[in-house]
Amino acid sequence: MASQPSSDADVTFEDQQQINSFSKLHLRSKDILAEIKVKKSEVEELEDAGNELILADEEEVRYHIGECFHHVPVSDAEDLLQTAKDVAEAELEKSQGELEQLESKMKELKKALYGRFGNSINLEE
Amino acid sequence: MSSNEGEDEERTHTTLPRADFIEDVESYIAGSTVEEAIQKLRQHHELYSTAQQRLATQRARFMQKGPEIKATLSAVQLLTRQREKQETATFDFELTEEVFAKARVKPVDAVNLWLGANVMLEYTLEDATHLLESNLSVCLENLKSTESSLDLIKDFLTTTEVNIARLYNFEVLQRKQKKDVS
Repeated sequence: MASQPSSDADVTFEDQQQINSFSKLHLRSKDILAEIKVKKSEVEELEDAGNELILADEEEVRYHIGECFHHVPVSDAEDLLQTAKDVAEAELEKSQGELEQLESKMKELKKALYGRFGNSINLEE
Repeated sequence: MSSNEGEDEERTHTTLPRADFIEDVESYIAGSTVEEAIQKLRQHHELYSTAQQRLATQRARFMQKGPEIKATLSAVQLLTRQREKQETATFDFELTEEVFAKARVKPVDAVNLWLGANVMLEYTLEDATHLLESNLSVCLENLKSTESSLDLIKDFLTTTEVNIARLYNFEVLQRKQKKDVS
């Protein structure tokens, strides 16, 4: 965040607020990237489980609920998995949407701040 | 920065020094040396960092607690569904680590919830659902307020970083001017 001495570009209150916004967005985008990674693997795992279920020969499977395994007919397990997957996918989509918004805001701020300070400011990736 | 002092204190739950934007570096320094001013800001920066870590730990705890409550809720919901159908369900439950036993559970009207502090209380399925749902919303609420505190601390940190850089630049400029004069 350090800038090189440049007498013609002193930091104004608005600049400071923009820098603060950028720095918060940057932090948040790192958090949300981690969240997305977790949710993606959750969706994948549920998908895998669904595929296994199709191949399963048994009439009854064990479905993990709380800290127990519930014995349920395959068709019930399919419903439960589908519901879980829908929820996970909706959450993933929401996070991805938020990330897009963050990134477009960051892009705007970058343009404004680089425009003001040129090479004197470094907005890390 | 836009909010008043009382609000900030509420958000950070501590009495941290505020990080204010420096309007004019020269009048900010007036009365002390640049080094002293930088030193003071560095100390503040450290305070903010500590607070940030504390809040981040809190946030991680709430983020972990949410899914835990959801898992408990899904178990209670299962019992509720089972009662509606009046079915006996079969479970494999963990007897001890890595050892599972089979249990048949008849439809029930009540569950015992572990409340912590060595207390377990029996609730009807409806009451248990209600309690867990309200716990979940309290947890999410706390998460939100912790995140808002973290935002404020991040503002403090960034402002202080910029302030330090500006003081430093001011000092460099001052030295250069002195050199030019002499």
